[in-house]
Amino acid sequence: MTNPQRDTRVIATYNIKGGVGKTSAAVNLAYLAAAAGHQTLLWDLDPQAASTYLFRVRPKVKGGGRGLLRKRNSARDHIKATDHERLDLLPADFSYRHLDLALDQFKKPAARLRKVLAPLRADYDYIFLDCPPSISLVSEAVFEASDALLVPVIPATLSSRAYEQLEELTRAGKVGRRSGTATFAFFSMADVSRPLHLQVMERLRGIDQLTVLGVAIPTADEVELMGEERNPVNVFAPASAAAVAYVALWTEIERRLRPSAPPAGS
Amino acid sequence: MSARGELFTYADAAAQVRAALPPSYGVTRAPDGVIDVRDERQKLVCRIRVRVLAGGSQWLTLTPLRGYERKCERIRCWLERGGLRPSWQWKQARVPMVVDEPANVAAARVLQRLLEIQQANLPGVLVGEDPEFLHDLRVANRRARSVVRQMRAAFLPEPAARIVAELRWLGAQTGATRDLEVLLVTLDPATAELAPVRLLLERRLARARAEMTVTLRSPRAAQLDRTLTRLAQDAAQRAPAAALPVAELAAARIRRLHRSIVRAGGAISAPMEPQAYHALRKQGKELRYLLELFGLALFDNTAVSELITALKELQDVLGRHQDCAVHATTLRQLAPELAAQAGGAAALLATGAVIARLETQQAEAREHFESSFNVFASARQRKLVARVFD
Repeated sequence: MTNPQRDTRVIATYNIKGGVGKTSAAVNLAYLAAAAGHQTLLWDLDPQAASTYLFRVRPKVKGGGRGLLRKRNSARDHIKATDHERLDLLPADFSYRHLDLALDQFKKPAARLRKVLAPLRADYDYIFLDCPPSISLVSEAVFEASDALLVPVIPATLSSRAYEQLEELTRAGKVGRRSGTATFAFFSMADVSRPLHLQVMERLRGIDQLTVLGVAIPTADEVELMGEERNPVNVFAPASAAAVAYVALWTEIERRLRPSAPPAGS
Repeated sequence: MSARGELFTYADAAAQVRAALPPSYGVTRAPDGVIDVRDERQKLVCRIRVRVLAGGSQWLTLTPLRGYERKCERIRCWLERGGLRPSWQWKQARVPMVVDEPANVAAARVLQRLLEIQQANLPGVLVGEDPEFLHDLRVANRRARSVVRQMRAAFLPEPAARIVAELRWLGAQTGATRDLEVLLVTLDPATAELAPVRLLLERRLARARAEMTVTLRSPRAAQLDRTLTRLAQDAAQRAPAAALPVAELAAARIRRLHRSIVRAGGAISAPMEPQAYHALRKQGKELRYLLELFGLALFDNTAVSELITALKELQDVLGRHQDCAVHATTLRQLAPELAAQAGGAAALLATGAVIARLETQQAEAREHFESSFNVFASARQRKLVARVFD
C-alpha cells in the first residue's frame, strides 16, 4: 500500500569488480528486510540478471531500460512480486547493457535514477539496487540515487585493489557526493583460516576513508547453492554460517541507517 | 452472496486445479486452505484460497501476485475449462436436459441442484451479515417446492410430500426475518420521526433472526440436507408417470398453469381482497419457475423468454401489491408499542404517513394489474403457449 510518509532508504550493492558477492548480498539482505516486516524492492540493474534468475522471474522489461528511464511512473508497471511476502522485484533486462547510453540522453544523467525511484519511495521502506560491476554513468547515477552504498570486498589482493579504487573515488568526491550517502564495505567470501585473508582484512580496516562493517560473510557452499535452490540462504539453510552472517550484517546495516529504530524482531 | 470472481466446485479443489493446469505448472497446498500455483519457471504467480461450505461446495478465490495478473486470468480460464464454475452460475438452477429424458430423472436433477443452492446458502444465513444469502436460500427453497408440486407425476407421492413438508418448514423459519429486512430497507432513514419505528423493527428483526438461527442450528436442520437428498432419491424412483418424457410432462404442466392463471386473473376485479392477488401471484411464481427451469432448457428459447417477460411484468405488479399489504400490516401492529413510547405521537403520525403511502402504492399496483394482466393473457401469449407447449 502506498504511504507518502515512508522514510525510504535506497541501498546499492556495488563494486567495480564482478563476482564479489553483490547479488548474494542484495538478494539476502532484501529478503531479510522484507522478512522483518519492511516493504522492500530489489531492482536488478545488472543485465546478467542474476537476482532476477534467483527469484524465478523472467528477465524482461517491456520497453527496456530506455523506457523505464523515460517515463516517470513507468517503474511501477514492471514490478513483480517475488515468492516472499513484502519483497518485490524490478527485473533485469538485457537492454540494461546500454543503460549508459540511455542515461546520456538526459540533461542530468546522474540524477535520472533518483527521479525514476522517487515515486517508488511512497511504496517501499527499502529499495535495493543490485548494480553491474563497472564504473560508468550507471554507477554515477546509482551513487546519486542511493542513501547507502554497500561494497562487498573479497579479502584477497586483486579484490582489495578494487576497494582501494573505490576509496580513491570517494576521496575525489565521485562517491558519496550527495549529502547523507553512506558507504559501507564488508568482507565477502572471507576465509579466516587463510592468513592472507586475515592480513588483507586487517590492512583494509585501517583505511580511514571508508567504513568497514564488523560482520564478514564467510565463503560457504550455501551461498553457492542459492543458484540451485533459487532462494535466499535464509530460506533453505537458515542455520548455516552464511545465513547467520547475513542476519548479523543486516542488523548492523539497519542500525547504522536507522539509529533510532528498534532492532529487527523487537 | 459470494465475492465476484470466485469459482466453485463440488469436487476436490486442489485435485481439480492440478488437473486443469498444464503439466509444467506446479500446484501445492499451502497452510490455511491455500493452493499455490507456480508457472513453468516454478515462480509463484497465483494464490487460491479455498472455502468449503456446508453444502459441500468449495469456493476458490484467485489472487494474482503483483505483475502476474494476466497469468492469473489465464489460470482462471484453464480452471473454468477444467470444470470449475464461475460464481455467477451459482444462482443458476438450470441444469442441462433433453426432451425425451425420463421426467423423474430430469426433475430429480433440477431438485438436487436447488437443494444444493439452498444448502450452500445456509452458512451465510447463519452468519447473518449479508441478506442476499437468505434471499437466495428462500428462492431455492420455493423453487424446489414448486418443482416437486408441479412435476409431482414424476415423483413417488409419499417421499414427495415429505420433501414439500420439510422444505415448507425451512421456508417458514426464515419468512419473518426476510420480511423485516425488506421492510427496514423501504423505510426512509432520513425521516427522523421514523427512528423509533426503525428501532422497534430492528429489535423485532434481531429477535426473529435469533429464533431463526436457533432453529437452523437444530438437529432437524442439521439433518435436513441428508434427509432431503435421501427423499429426493426415493421420490425419483419410478412413479406411475416417471417414464414420461420430461418435455411432455413439463409442457402439460405449463399449459395447465397458464390456463389457470388466465382464468383466475380474469375473475379479479379492482376491489377484490388482497388474498386474491396473492393467490394469483403464487401461481405466477410456479409458472415462472417451470418456464425458467424446464421451459428454457427444453423448448424454443425465444418464445419462452417472451412468455417469461410478460409474466415477470405481471409478477412485479403483484409483488408490489403484496409487499405493500404485508408492510402496512406489520407497521399497524407496531402502533400500540409506539404509542407507549416517548415521542410516540410523532412516530405514529410518521408511520401513518408511511402506511398511507403504501396504500397508495397498493392502489396503483391494482390499477396497473389490469394492463399487465391483459398482456399476459393476450391472444398472442395464449397462441404462443399453444404453439410451444402443445
